Amino acid sequence: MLFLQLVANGIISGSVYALLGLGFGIIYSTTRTFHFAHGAVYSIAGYFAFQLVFWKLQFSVSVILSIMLAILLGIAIEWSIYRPLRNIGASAMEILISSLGLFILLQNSIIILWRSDPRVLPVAEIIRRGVSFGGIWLTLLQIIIVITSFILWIGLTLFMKHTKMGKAIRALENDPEMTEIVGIDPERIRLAVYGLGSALAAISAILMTIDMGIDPNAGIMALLIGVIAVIVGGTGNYTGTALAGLLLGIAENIGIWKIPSEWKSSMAFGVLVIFIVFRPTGILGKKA
Amino acid sequence: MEYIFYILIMVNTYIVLAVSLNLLLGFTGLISIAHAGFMAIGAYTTTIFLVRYGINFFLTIPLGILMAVAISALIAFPSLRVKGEHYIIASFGFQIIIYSILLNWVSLTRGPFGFAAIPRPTIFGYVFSTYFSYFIMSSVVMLACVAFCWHLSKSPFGLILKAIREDEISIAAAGKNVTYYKVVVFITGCAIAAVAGSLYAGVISFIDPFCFTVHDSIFILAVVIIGGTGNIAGSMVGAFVLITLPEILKFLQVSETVAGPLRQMIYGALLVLFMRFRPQGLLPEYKKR
Repeated sequence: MLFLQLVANGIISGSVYALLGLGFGIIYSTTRTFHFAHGAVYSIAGYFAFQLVFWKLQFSVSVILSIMLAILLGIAIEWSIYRPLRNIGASAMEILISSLGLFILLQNSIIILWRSDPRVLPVAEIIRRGVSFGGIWLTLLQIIIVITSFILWIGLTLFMKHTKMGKAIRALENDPEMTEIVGIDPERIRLAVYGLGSALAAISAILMTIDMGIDPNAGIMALLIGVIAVIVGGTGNYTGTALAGLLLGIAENIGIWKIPSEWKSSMAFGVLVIFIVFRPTGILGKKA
Repeated sequence: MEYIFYILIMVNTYIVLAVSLNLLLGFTGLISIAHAGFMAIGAYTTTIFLVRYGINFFLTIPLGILMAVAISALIAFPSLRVKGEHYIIASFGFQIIIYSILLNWVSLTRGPFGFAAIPRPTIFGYVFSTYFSYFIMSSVVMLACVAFCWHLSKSPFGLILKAIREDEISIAAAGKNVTYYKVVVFITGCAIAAVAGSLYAGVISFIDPFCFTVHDSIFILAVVIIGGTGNIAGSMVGAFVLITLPEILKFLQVSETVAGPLRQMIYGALLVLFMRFRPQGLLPEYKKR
């Protein structure tokens, strides 16, 4: 029974991990920019939602506003920092370093604005109440988290397969030059991708802020979980990324059973390093 | 006056760190975000031998080097096979793993409590108790490390490193074992970082895992980049500028809770601005013709 409970807990955190992976993955695989500042976008969205609710704004309005802020922030970063760097012919490493700098800048402005204490987004108590399903305890909130993540994953898959924009994004991922030749403006697609990825980051941040709360270090952990999901699942493979996120959550929670929980992050990074070294294309990726 | 020497000791420590990271980043093109982790290995080795076993500070430095060599060798062989961004993420992973070992292996490292009252180094009965004497001592160590790195960078070995940075495939085609060179430079860089860690532990007299976080690794990276990658003198200038510059905040009466993050914001902003407007750093590797 304990085992089933742990698997259930794993699916809950794993579904948020899957979202984190999708958000980072869509940006990384399409633009080939290692968007470190994504972690800061995540934190800002969570804190902003908290702040709006704290100011007695309606919950749904706060959520929408903070998702919009994240989208704008993502787009602004691409437009004002990455694009000029690409235009002067900066290498991928230079762009990465500037993204790292931006991350530090934003992360520390959060610490100045909100201090370092963790914040939890207040919601109606009813959705935090536990319900027993044949011995497994779940809260309504946790069910909402899983369903939201699942819907977004399916939605993203359909979007990428069937809409014009989704096809353009996949085209840019496969062959940027060819994309330009057939008349798609790659800069516009990149902006859209940053918006989309940031929106996913914001949604996962808000879910996490309701469930566990947010602190200034949450951004970097979220980013790294996203990176792990992308690398383990295979860059550009959204199904793989989502599954890898889910598996990571399950593995982490089953791990707690046998391994003291303070080693959780070491274990996650151990898995990451093993993948990077032995199978950098991920479980479902093509062989290198 | 003593305070100024304290700052200068920090400058010396960070020069050692920056110069050793420059070997990896500037000369070989390996971006590593684990340097604070290797610094921690030096600092903890020194502290544990000094506090628990009463071994002389100057004997713990080589022990720290040995420890860093052992750990970095363990890491180097698998991780240096991977390329580009994946290597950075792997080094990030190592940083987090080292940090969490320091935090959680309580019986060895005392975990979050850290070590307090680390005794000052002594040699032949002389105690380096003032910041001034420590500054002189650390300057000697720093100059030795800088001379070593400078010599290495000018040697045939260093030239091959630069060639690897510029074009890995053709240097492999020329019959050089690229992985061997990367592994050797990686271990060397990490060993020197451990020396800096020992110096740091000796002066600060209190260490805990929070002295060696990802943020500190990124700070060392910023020192190298802002100073100028591939230029040893640049790393020295970078360390001096980035350590002394935030001290101005002290004069502006900024409260300590704001000053810490504000200092980090300055590094972050500088990284962004330098990448955009002066990617070669303050002192570029080559002068403009």
